[in-house]
Amino acid sequence: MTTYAQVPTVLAEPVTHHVETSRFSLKTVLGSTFKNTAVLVVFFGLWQILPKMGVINATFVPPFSRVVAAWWGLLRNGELLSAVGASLERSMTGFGLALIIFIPLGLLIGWYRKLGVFLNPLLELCRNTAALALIPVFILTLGIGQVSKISVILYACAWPVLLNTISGVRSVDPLLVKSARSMGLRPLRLFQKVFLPAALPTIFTGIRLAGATSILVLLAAELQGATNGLGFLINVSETNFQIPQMYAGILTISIIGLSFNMILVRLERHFSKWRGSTNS
Amino acid sequence: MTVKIQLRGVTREFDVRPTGKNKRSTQVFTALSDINLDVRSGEFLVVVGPSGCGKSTLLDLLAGLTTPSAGEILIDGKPVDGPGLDRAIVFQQYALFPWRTARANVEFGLEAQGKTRSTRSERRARAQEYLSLVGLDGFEGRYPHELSGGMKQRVAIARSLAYEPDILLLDEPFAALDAQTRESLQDELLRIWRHTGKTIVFITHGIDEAVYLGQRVVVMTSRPGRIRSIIDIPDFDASPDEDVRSGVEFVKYRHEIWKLMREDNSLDAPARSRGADTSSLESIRHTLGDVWESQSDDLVRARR
Repeated sequence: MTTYAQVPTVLAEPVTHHVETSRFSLKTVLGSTFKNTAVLVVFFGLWQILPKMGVINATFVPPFSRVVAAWWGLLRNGELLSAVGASLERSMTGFGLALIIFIPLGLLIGWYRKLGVFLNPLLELCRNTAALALIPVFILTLGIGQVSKISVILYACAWPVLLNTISGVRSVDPLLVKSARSMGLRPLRLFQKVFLPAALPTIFTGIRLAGATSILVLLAAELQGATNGLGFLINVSETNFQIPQMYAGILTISIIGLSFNMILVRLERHFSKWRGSTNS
Repeated sequence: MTVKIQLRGVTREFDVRPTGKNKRSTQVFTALSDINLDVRSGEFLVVVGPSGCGKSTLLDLLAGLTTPSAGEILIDGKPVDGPGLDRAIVFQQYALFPWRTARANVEFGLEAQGKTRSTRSERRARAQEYLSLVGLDGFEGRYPHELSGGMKQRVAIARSLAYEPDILLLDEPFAALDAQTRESLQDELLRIWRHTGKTIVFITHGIDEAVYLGQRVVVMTSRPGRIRSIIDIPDFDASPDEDVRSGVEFVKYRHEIWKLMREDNSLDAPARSRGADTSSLESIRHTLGDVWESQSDDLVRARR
């Protein structure tokens, strides 16, 4: 048991699990939809009214309707779609590569304890180095093009994925391992049949966090030296004083982040539906 | 009757991580000392003992999860070489895989046998059969968190029976259940035992449970764990609506075991009053036993 308790606390990333207390019913869905959107209605309402009334300077914060009009314009002339396409390509490539590389690596580190002990100081150092701080480094070493941007996203996505995967593998209930061992499971099968499924919800938490990160970091990466993408669109609009277009870009990125997160939350719930309100 | 399990001078020691000032010197903790025991084929054997008598260690040894420091364990005359599907364990905390439904949990052991042994539909049918045996028809699609403690333990029993081991090892399987559920599961286990003819080694700290279930009861003493005495328990003839546990014979055996355990315990706590009402004393002992047992077991596990 001690061996499992030795997971360094620093590795225990914010592991939050969504616990479903009850199944969805129509009533709760409608109720929660109202609760979730009421505040947004108020927010966008104020955004519309306050600049119109002159409470907020409409030059810097144009009314919401003008932002929507600008958004529609950008959508019609195809600028928005190409920007979204370029941004998503970067985000998803970085995010996808992070999953492909760091889930297996996390499984290895979680499984081979000595490797984890050896690597831990380096992981701690890297994890606490903000990806944004490294943007100049990536640009210096990898140039101003696509590679450096994707690398920044990859780097930022790596840590939640890696650390959650490691902690998922390490925090498997020792009793389950004992039970499976008593049925004669060899290490490889034990890994496949016990460690992997037990770690899956924690791994998915890491994936969800990485998903959010991939969108957040994308913008920062595109603000410097990009020639397309949403970050570029926002930046250029600001420089050209096309304020409604700037807000349209910002809103788009929010919507993308929100949708992506929702998809990942759904997936996460699907893979952890066996987690009830209590343990096993 | 043939002998199924033989224990010959089995000793199990653990290195205790040193605490306090002398951190250099490792101490050795003897969990089990010189255990000699034959378990007959098809027998229902109960091991009862106070905290720290190494009951759970004994079970781990039988399961092949750990190896003896000295002595040997033979099953059908062959030394135990690691875990195997000829033995199954039922744990106090169920140890069900929470991501698997009741049926998939029962199928786990069958999958462990390997794909060559059974097809998917055979495994499914077998799981269903054993879930029925433990009275869980209609619950096969439930996840463990959707089941009560008693039902979880039924699933665990079904799982251990499904791959048809010769020996069933139960480690205080009913200790976490309420009294009523415990009694019904005890009867269920007896029924399954008569039905299947398995060799059962059942570990408990409850004297009533030991006398009720066992054909023979092994009484152990603690620190180090040794066998103090082995007691044959007769069949208590009683009609179904009669309370066996309050019969004269039953109480006599219970008292005998209780005395054996108390004599051992009084070495630890000589100050305990001797003339007190036995039943209340026993209930105190039970309660204390629970606490000690769980703590010392955790300690022993932590030392591994």
